[in-house]
Amino acid sequence: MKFKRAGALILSAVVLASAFAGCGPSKPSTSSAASTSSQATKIPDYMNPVGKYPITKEKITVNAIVPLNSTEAKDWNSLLAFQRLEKMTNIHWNFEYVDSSKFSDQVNIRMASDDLPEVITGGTDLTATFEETYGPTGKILDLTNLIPTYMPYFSKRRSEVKDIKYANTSLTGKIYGLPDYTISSGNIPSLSFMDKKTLDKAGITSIPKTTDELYTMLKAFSKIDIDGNGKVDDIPMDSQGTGTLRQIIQPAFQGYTGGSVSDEWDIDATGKVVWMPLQKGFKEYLEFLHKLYSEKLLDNEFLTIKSDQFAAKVKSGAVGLFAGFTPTGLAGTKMEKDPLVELPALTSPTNSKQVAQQPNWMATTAAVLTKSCKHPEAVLSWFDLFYRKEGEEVQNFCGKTSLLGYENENWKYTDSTKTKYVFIDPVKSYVELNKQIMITYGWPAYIDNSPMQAGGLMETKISQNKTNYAPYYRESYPLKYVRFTNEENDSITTAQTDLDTYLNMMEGKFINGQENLSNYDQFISKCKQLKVDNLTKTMQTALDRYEKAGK
Amino acid sequence: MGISMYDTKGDKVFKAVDIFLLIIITLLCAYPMWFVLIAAVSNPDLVQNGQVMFLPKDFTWDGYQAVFQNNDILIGYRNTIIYTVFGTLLDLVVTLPAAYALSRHDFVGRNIFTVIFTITMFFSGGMIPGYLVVQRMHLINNPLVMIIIGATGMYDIILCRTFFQSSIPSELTDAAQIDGCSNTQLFVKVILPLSKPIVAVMTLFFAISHWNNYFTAMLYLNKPDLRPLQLVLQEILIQSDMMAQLIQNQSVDPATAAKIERTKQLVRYASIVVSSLPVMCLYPLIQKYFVKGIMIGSIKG
Amino acid sequence: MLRKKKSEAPVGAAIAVRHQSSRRKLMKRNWELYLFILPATLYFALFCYWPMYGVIIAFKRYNIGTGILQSPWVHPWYHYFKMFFDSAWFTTTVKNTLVLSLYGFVVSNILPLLLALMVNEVQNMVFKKTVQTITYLPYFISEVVLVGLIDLMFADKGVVNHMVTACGGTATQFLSSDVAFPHLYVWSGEWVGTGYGAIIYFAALSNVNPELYEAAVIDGANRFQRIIHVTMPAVIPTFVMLLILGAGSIMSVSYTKVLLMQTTTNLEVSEVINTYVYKTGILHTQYSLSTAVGLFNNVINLILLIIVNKISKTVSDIALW
Repeated sequence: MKFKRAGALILSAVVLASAFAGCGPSKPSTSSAASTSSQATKIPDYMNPVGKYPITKEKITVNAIVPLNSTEAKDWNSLLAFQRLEKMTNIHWNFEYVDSSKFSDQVNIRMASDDLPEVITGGTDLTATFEETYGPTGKILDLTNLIPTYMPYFSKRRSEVKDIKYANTSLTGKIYGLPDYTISSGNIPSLSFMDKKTLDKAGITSIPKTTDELYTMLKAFSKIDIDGNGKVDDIPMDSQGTGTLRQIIQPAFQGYTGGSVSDEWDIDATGKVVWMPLQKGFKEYLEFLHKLYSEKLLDNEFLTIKSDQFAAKVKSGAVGLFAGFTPTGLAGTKMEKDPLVELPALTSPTNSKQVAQQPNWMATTAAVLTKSCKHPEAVLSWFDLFYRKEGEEVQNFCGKTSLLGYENENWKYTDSTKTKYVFIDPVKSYVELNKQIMITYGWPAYIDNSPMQAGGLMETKISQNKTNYAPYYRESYPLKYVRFTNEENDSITTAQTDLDTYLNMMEGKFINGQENLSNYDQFISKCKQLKVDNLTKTMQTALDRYEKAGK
Repeated sequence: MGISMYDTKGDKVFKAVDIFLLIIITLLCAYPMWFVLIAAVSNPDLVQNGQVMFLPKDFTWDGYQAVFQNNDILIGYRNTIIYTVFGTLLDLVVTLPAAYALSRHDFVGRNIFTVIFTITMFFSGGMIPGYLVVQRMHLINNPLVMIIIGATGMYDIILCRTFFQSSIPSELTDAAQIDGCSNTQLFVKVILPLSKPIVAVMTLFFAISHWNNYFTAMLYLNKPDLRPLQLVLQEILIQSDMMAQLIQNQSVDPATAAKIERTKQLVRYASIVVSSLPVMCLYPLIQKYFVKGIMIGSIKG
Repeated sequence: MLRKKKSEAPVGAAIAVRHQSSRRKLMKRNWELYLFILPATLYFALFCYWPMYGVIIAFKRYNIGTGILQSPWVHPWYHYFKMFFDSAWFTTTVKNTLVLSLYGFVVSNILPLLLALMVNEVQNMVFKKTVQTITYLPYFISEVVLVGLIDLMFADKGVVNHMVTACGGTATQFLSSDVAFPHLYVWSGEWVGTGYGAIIYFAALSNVNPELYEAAVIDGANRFQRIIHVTMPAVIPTFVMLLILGAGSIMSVSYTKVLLMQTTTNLEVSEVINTYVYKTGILHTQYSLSTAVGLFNNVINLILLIIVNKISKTVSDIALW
């Protein structure tokens, strides 16, 4: 009897042991980094076949460092989406929250001290530079060979959208990070809104289409009492600094759009990289703004006011055309119910083509896996859920769920045209979403949220953008996506700072009159002295390499 | 400090001018704090439009509400008080004896130590090596890190050393040595009691420095329970900022949106009041040590 | 009064030093002093010297991934220093750093002392305490709020311009002006720093024996003479020491406040070394460059300190070492 019992025990122990041996951690770093074959076809034992859920046979835990930029949910695992995902995938996340304002410093410190979590997600705080710094050293995993097998949907997106492929590929042709590609109203800048009441008061019946018409309109604004306080003491046009002006006025004069988003780098029709201030139309742009400034059509404090001050001015109703202020900011003011109109993409005497800068949809590196990651295959499969488009949902989850919540539970389309959506109680906005359902940003994902939220100031903003700017979208130099080698970095870092600082200063001085436009040629030759030609060459090299990536 | 019966007319004029100027200076220095107080309870848009300069307008408690409804405030206060009390004690224990030793001309190696310490004011390895060292000493996420880091600095040592050198006459030291006093007895029983002003000042400086310390906590503490007040306040600020950003991407009902926008700016001012009120109360307590001269009679006989 | 210091050299120590073998005797007799200085030495060794190897980042192509010790040395060793020196803004940033720093240095050493002297001349205890407490309050205002306040006050339609026009002048754009920037920067610093800086002088002054004043009055000294001969000697050592230490941070203009006060049009005077380095760091994180520039700043600081220390030693006998 005793032997039988003992034998049974031993037998069961052996059986159990062999069962667990299969669930033990595979050795990810060595196997995937060392594997040179283009396909890792053998799925580890601890996982179910790709595309089948749950992802792993037994529950696993993954440690991740995340930026604490959520507004309410202190414990992300308490959110509805995470609970459902955990049930669906068998993967439990242990989140370590890091102050988002110092996220990159903290992460770098952790990387330096080898105290690595398994996964780091960062939204816009991780960058391609991060990948290039740690990838070649092996501290973060090379995902190139894992992605085809474990991320079929991400692979599809890579082949559908060329920017994703280009931006995601490292300098050595490998893949180290997962991007966040989100087409959403949140990424669309608010360019040039006006209260229709102001237009009526000033007797303007058609919205300006050229810079000359803009001038006439602003002149008319200067003669009326905009905020209704009885005095003609208001501001026809205001902007916080030149940033937004470079998005609405500079393109009108030059036909290029990289002024604000790409540090003045753009690409001409032949594919050559150009620096905008050296191109035709820049002087006219400065002259135009100088005219507006000196006739007090442009707020004379626009170069020095800070964002809070600017917002306060707009909200007080004293500004005719406000550039760069989002309509939703008018909530709670006396203007919130007024109809708002936006300028269209303008043309000018020097440029007759309407152009607008396509918003930045992508953050190149939203997540990386470190060499401590015990189950990279499972983690990648988990992330692949976020790259599913509408129509590819599993259990009602796809990329869009991470932005809006579950369709028909938290939000729904208003009609079959699927152009507008509304939130469903108790969810009213991102605030409730982040509190109860899902953290709505910072994830590697593919999200197409072109439909707009119905109603309110947001719909105003998006519908105006649709007619005024969206039809004329073009891309300028992909500054946020292009990667530079260490040597290139060294050669451009100080040169770029020097050039930018000089340009910003002179732009301001030409506009406010501290510098006379008759000295424009000296400005141009100084720019040439600041090695702009060398910079242009380097930018070109980087661009060419970018466009060859992933081929 | 004149003796009134000797005041000449010139003296009287001088005093009047002196007091007048001091009143102006005091009012000027009082203004920034006053501004913070009224800005913390006024409509931020009016503040930004320059309409709130001397009196609050459009009264609101939203800022303070946002700060205090966060339960972590209490934890923050508790932690900061602990860190400040123990940190200040440690600072004094490390700094004062070292400064005294350096003030003694018969301390062999005095100059060498001075040079070695001074170099630390100029060369630093930077954030990453600093972190690695703290990590090696197992101080990461350890409350002790808030007490130990910043225990002293050459600047503080120099201030104390200067005081010892100029305010403690050497005859005192000689007399004590002749009496057979050991250095420790001398320091504790004679020097320290005579050094009340500098001890008071350093206590104040150390306490303020610990109280305001944000970076050490930010770099080395991750556990929520260990956060000092400054860290908690910074997080509240960031959170209200984020909230304000979120609502720019979505339509939210106007009342909520307006409130969120307001709160973001109010929190900044309210934080200053919340974090500096306790320390401001510390000063009067310390002040009594700088009131009278205390050297009277110590040498006589 | 300053010369008096020399003759105050401790008698006991003077005798001891003359005999070289007594050095060992001194060390033995003062063994406790070494214990006194031990905790501080330990602290500096652990938290300052141990991490100091990080300075070599300035000479390496630092990659955080590979670590400080393994990152390759850069050729030539002065590569990052040269990057900084070759930049078009080098002379401007150095000039601006020096101007702001020296201007602030002079003002911030004199004003707190002046304040302390003024308060010292008052007898009313309540008035004294009130002035001391209120003047140190602004120290707690954060830089962001301070600059925000300046922006409001000096705006085109702000209080200051109101007063200027009321007095018959023309409104000026202070915030975008090259000329106004250094003054705004330095005096706003004084606004919040003077009261706090005066505290150390209050402490020094409180240690002055009142009998000395009485004696001076009896000797027929008027108020100014009393200040010069009784009050000043009590604060001169601290004053000189702060002067020397201040010389050792001339190059270290903090970038946060300058960044807040910079506008595109005053860059010619407001771009300092640290803001420039900060901006290059935003483009591409450049640990090596910023470490190199920091090292450059610190070496200059150290040299200045040594020079000022030497001067002070010869002139006044008060010195750091």
